[in-house]
Amino acid sequence: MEIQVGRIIRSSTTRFAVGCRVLRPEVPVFGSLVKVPVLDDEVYGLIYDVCMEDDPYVRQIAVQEEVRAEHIEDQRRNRQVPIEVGVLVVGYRRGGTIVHRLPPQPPTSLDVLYTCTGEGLVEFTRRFDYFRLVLDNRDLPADELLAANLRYAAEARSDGQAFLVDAGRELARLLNMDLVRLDGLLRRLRDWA
Amino acid sequence: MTLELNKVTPQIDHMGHVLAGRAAHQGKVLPAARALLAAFADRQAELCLVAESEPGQRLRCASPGDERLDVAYAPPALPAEVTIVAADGSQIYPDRHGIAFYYAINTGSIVFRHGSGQAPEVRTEPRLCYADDELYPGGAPVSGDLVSAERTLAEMRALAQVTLAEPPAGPPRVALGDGPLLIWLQRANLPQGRQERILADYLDCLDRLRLGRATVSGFVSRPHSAEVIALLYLAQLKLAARQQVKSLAETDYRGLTDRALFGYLSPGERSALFVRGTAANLDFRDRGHTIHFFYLNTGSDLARVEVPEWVARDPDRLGLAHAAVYDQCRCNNGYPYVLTRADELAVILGEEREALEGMIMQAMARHGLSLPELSRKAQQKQAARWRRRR
Amino acid sequence: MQDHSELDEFFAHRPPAPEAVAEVRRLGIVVSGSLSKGLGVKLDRGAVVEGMAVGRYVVVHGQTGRRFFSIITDVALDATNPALEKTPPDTSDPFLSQVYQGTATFGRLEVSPMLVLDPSTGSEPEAGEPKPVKTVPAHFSPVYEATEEDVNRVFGAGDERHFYVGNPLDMENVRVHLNLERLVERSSGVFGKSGTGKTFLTRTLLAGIVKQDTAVNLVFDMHNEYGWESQAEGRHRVKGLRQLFPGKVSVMTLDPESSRRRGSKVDFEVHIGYDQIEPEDVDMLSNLMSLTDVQINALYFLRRRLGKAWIEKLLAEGEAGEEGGPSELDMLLEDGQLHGGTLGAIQRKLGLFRRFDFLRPRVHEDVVGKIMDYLDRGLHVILEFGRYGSTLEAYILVANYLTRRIHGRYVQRMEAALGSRTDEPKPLVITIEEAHKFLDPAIARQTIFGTIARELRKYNVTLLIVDQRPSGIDEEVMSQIGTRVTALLDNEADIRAVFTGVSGAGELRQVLARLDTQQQALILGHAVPMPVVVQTRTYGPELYAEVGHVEGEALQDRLTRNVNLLQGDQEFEGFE
Repeated sequence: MEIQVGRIIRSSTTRFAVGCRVLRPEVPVFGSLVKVPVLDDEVYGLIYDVCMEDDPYVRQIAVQEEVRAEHIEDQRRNRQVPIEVGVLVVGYRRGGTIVHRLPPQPPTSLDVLYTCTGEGLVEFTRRFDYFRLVLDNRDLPADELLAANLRYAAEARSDGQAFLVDAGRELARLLNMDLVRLDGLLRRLRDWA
Repeated sequence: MTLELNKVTPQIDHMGHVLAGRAAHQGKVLPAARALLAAFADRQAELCLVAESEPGQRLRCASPGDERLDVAYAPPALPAEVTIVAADGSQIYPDRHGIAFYYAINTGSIVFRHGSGQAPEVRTEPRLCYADDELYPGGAPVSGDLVSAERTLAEMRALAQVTLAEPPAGPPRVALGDGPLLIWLQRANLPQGRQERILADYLDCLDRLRLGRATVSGFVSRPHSAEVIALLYLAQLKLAARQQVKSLAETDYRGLTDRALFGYLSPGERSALFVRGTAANLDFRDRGHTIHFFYLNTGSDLARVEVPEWVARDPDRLGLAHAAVYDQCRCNNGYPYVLTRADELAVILGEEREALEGMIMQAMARHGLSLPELSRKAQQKQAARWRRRR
Repeated sequence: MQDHSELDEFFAHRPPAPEAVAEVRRLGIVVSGSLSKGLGVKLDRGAVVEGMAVGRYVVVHGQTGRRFFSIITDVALDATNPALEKTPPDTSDPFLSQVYQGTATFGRLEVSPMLVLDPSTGSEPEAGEPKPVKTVPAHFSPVYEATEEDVNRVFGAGDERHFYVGNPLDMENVRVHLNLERLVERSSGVFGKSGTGKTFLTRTLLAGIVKQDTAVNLVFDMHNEYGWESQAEGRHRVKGLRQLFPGKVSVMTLDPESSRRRGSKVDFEVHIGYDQIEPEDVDMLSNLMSLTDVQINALYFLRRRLGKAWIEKLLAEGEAGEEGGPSELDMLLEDGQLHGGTLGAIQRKLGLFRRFDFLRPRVHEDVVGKIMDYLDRGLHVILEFGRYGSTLEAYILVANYLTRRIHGRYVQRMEAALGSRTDEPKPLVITIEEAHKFLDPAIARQTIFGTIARELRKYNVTLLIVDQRPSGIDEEVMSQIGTRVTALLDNEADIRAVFTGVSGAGELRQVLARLDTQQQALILGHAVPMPVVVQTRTYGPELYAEVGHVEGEALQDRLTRNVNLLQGDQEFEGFE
C-alpha cells in the first residue's frame, strides 16, 4: 500500500526536500523508507526530517495567553504550507535491481514521493550496503535515523529479531573503530528487539 | 551603507529634546482637553452647530452623535457564533523603468467563523493590468494615485462580495476593512470622471452590504486625527475668536490627538460615537452612508473604528461591530486577527514580484519581443536576478 | 495425486545440490600467516571457539583448488578493536552479545599446514597423493573441518599396504592408517611412560605386519606378552599373536616351565651352548656386569687362548678348584699374561651364567639356523623369556647373541642376492624392549643394534624398539628412527628425545604433553604423511576379526552354517 507523501520542492543527488500539506498519522514518519519514480527508475530515501518553519507571527501567537482554535487551525492549514520533509537518498532501482548507491540523477521538482512499506521495504533492506550512506552524515541524527528505519524493516518481517541481529552485526563491522557509537546504536536496536 | 550615523548624532540628540518637550506640553494641555470633554459632554446640539459652522468645516471638526461624550462604553457580549470577513489589498505600481509597463492589484480575503473551531477560509484574487485603457486612462499614463484608488475599490468589492456570499440566515456577519471606510479621492490626480466612477462603485458596495443586512466597519490603527480635539477647541472659544483659527497647529492644542484624549478608555471600552468631519463625508451622507466613528481600546492601543450611519444608528449592529473588533484584537496583540491575515494574503513580496516578472519576460520573449525592448535599467535588474537564480 | 507431481516437477527443476562440500562445516577464513609460522584463521561467527581443539584437522581450500591439510596448533580470542578488551560491551544482554560475537570479537586459530592435496584429476593415480607443503593458501581462503574423505586421503584407506591403527581425535568415524611398508623400511619406535599402553600399541603394529605380510618379525618378548594370551590391565585376557595367526606365528621359549604354566603353546625350546658364546656377546653386558676395560680385553684374550670352550673352562675353574693338576688358566697366570685379580673377577661375574638354564655346556641344535629357517618360511618368531625376562643380563645376552648372528646371515644373503640374483631375504623386523639398554650412547656405536639402526634398510633388517626412556637412547640412533609412535611422556628430556630430528616440533610438543594417559598416541615419521594424534584402536575382538581370527562361539556358528550349506544348495562359505 503506497501512500503519497508529497511532492519534491528541492532536490540534489544526496538529499531532497518534499512539501506536504498536513501531518497525517501515517505520513510523513521519521526513518521510514520512501521512493520517487524518476523516469524508468525509482530513487529510494529515508525521511530524516519533518520541518515546520516558524515566522514572527506564529511566535507572537504562540505566546498569547489565549489561543483560539480558529487561529490554530488557520495557522496550521492555511499558513504553514508546506510542511517540509527532508529525505536522504539511500539507493535506487534500475530495471529489477536495487542498488544501494547514489542515483545517477536526482528526482526533479514536483515529482511525487510515496511511502515504501511491506514487501518493498523488505526487499530494499535485504542487504545492508546503504548503512554507510546513512552513517556518513554526521550533520544528521544518522544513528536515530538508521535505528528507526531498521525497526520498521524488522516489523515488516516475520523474523524481525534475526534481521536485527544481522543488521547489528553489519554495524559492528562498519563501526568497529567507534565502539561508543556502535554501542549506542545497538542499544537503540535492542530496545526494540 | 550611505546613512552616516555619526553625522546625524547631534540631530538625534536635539530631536529627543524636542520630543520630550512636546510630550511635556501635551501632558499639560491634555487635562484641559479632557475637562472640555466633560464640560461639553451633554451639549451635543451646541457642538453640532460649531462643527457645521464655517471654522468648524475648515478645521474638519467631528460632530457628536446622540451619546454622552465623556462616557466609556463597555463592549456587549459577542454572540457565540459570528462570521467575520476581512479583505486587504496590495499592488505593484506601474514602473516606467520596469521590464514592461503594467500594474497589478492583489486582494486577499478571509472568512473567520468565530466559535466554529474551524480553519478560516482564505482566498486571493490577483489582477494584472496591462490593457491600453487601464494603462492610459484619459490618454495619460496611469498614476500611482489611481492605482491606489483602484486597489481601495478592489478591497471594498472583495469585502462586499465575500461577506454577502455568506448566508443571511447564518451567524451574524461582520465585514472589516483595513483603514478608514471614508475614502477621499484627489480629483486633481485622477483622469476625468474616474473619481466619480470609483466613488460610485464604492458606495454601491456599501449599498449592497446595507441591503444584505451585514455589519460593516473600517479599522484605523494608531489614528493621528484630532477631529474631536478641534471640535472642543473651537467650542470653548468665543465666536469671534473661532474665526481667527486657521489651523489647530497654531494653537496650544497642536500635536494633541483624539487618541490621547480618549486614553482613559479601559481595554474593550469605546468612546461615544462621532461623525467624521471631512468634507468627503458629504458624498457618503447623500447615499445614507454617513461615516461615524468611535475610539476603541483594543487591549494595547487605541484604534478608530469607522461605521456607516446605518450601523451607527442600529444599537445591535453597533454593538456587534464593537464586540467583534475588540474580540479580534484581544487575542492578536491589539490588532484584528483577520486583518493581519488579510494583509498577509494580499501582500506581494519582493521575490514573488521577481517571479512574476520573470514569467512576464518569458512570455514576452515567446511572443517575439527581443531584449533590447527592455530598458537598460531593467536589463541590469534582470542580470542581477539571474545570478540569484543560479 | 496432482500435488505430488507438481512438487516433483518443482524439485526436478532445481539445480543439483552443490556437492557434499556444502555440508562440511566451514570454520573461518585465512587472514594471515606464513609457511614457517603457520596460518592465522579468523573463525566464522557460527564456529564455536570452545568447540575447537588443538590437534584437530582442518582443510584450507586454496584459490587454485589445492587443499591444504592442516592441524590446529593454537586457539585464541581476538577483537577487531583493542579497546573492546578494556571496555567490554554489556554481554548480559542477549541481543548485544549475539551481535558482538563473531563481528567485533571473534575466535582465532593458528593452524599449521602439513600437506597439500592436489585436486584429484582421476587420470593419474598419483594425483591424489598428499605432497609436502611448499606454499600457503591465498588470503581469505575458506577453512573447513577436515572430512572423513580428506583424512582418508591423507592417512590412506585400509588396503594391503595400510593398516588401521586408530582414529583422529574427535573423529570416531575416520580411520588413520599406517603405511606398513614404510614402517618396516626403517627402524621405528614405540615410546611412552609405563602404563600408557606401549605393549598394546606394539602388539597392534605387529598384528598389522603379520596380517599384511609386510615383513617377518623376530620379537624378544621380555614379559611374555606377544605370543600367547596375557592379562591386560583391565584384568580381561587378551589374545597373543599366535592365537590370532595360528600357523603363521611361532613361539620359542627360554623357560619352558613358565610357558607351560601359562598354557602357551611353544614350538621350540631355545638352548645356547657355552661354546657358542663369543666375547662380543658378553661385551654388551659390560655395563650391567660392571666389567672393566681390562676385564673385557681379558675376555678376548681368554677366548683366543682357551678356544671355543672358553666359558666352560672358566666356569669349571671357578667351580672345581685344584682338581686335575695345573690347568690352562694356571699356566696363563704363571706366564704373567693374566692378572690373578682380573681372572677372579671374570670368573665371579660369569658365574651368573650358571643360573641361566638355557645355557648348556654343549648344544647340538643350531638355534640361529632354526630361527632363520622359520623366518625364511615366512613364520614370525616370538621368543619368550619366561622368568628370565626379569633378568636384564639374560635378555640382553640372548637378544644380542641372536641378533648378531641373524643379522650376519642377512648380510650374507643380501650380498649373495646382489651377486647372483638369488632372492633377497624377506624383510625382518626385530622387536626389542628396554631398548635404551642396548642403545645407550656409551655402547650404541659398537653394538649390533646401533649398527642395524644406522644401516637403515640396507640388509633388510630393521628394529622396532619399545622404550619408556627415549632420552636414554643415543641421539644418532634416535634420529634414524623412521616412525615414532608415542604415547604420553611427561619427562621433558624424553619428549625432546622423541622429536630429535623432527622439524616444526614446537607445536607438536604441546600436543604430546596433552595426550591422555591411555589409548592416545602421537604418530610421526616415515609411515604417516604427517604427524597425527590418534585414539588408538582397541586391541580386542574387532581387531581379532579384522585380522581373520574367528572366536570359538562364532566358529561354532560358522561350522553349523557351513554344514547346513553343504547339505543345501548354497555355496560353501569356508572357514577363512
